[in-house]
Amino acid sequence: MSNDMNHHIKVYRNVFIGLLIFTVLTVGASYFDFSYVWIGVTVGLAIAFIKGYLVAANFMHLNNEKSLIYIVLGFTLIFFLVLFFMPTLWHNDEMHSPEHIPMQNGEVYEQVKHNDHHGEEH
Amino acid sequence: MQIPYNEELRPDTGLYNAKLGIWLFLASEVMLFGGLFSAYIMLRLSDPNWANYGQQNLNIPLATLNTAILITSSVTMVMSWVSLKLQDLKKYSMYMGLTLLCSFGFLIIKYIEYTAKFDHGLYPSTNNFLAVYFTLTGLHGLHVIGGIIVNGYFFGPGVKMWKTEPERFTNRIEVAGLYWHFVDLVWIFLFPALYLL
Repeated sequence: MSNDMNHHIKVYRNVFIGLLIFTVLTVGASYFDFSYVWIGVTVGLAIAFIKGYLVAANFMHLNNEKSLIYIVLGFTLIFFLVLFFMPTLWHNDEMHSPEHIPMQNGEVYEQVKHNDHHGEEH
Repeated sequence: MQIPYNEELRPDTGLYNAKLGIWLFLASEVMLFGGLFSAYIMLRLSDPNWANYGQQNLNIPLATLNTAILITSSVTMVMSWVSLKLQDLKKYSMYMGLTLLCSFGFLIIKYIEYTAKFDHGLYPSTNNFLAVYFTLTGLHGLHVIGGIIVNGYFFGPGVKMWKTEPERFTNRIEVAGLYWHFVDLVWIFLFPALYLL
């Protein structure tokens, strides 16, 4: 038990150092001038996912857990993805978002009229 | 009535009941924060005025410090569980005390950030970005307060269970730790999403 725990302690220490390094990298990357915005966003999110993995796999012991927990998390992931990509319904205007949106300054934002993929004008 | 399987593993799940319970709770938490993250992306992509909302004026150094504090608290939390596994109650109290200290430190820094915004007349109703910022960080802050209440109980009056049921108490700390690491995990994504990107 003691040897096993000593191994755990070493892992936790290394993960702690890794998390601090990745935090510095995240902040550093945000100041770096990438040619395209999407590259900066991808780098920022990739580092966040690595940090998330380190916490979940080691501190939450997901690298060595019972299968039922993985099943629960598998379902969670599926529902999460559905929820997360719901805004794409808006993007395709399948939910008929309003063309006139009142804004904070009292003005009204008018959606730019354009031809959609059916060739009809909004 | 004795609650079953709080120490020994349940044969069909291979887990003690509280562990399955906390993971189901965390699954619901993923959906709660997932919905808000989704709303954030939708608002950000569809609001033509987003660039004028002053997202770049957030205090990145303070938020970075808060990230380091929360990561530290995650390590001290897991070390408090390790200490119990090693039958060392003194070290457990030290690490749990440090976890609580970090938690309060996080809230104090958040308070400084919030008051700076309010002093400049910036409220959740000011614009879409601030609405998202205050909602997400406020909800996360409530989770930190919830963690402080639970960990504070285990640091104070709840620790007496160690004398009568040490294994059950160790399991309780593991479950509280899973919740606390989740709070850390949420912040790991909130920090770049709100402050840096």
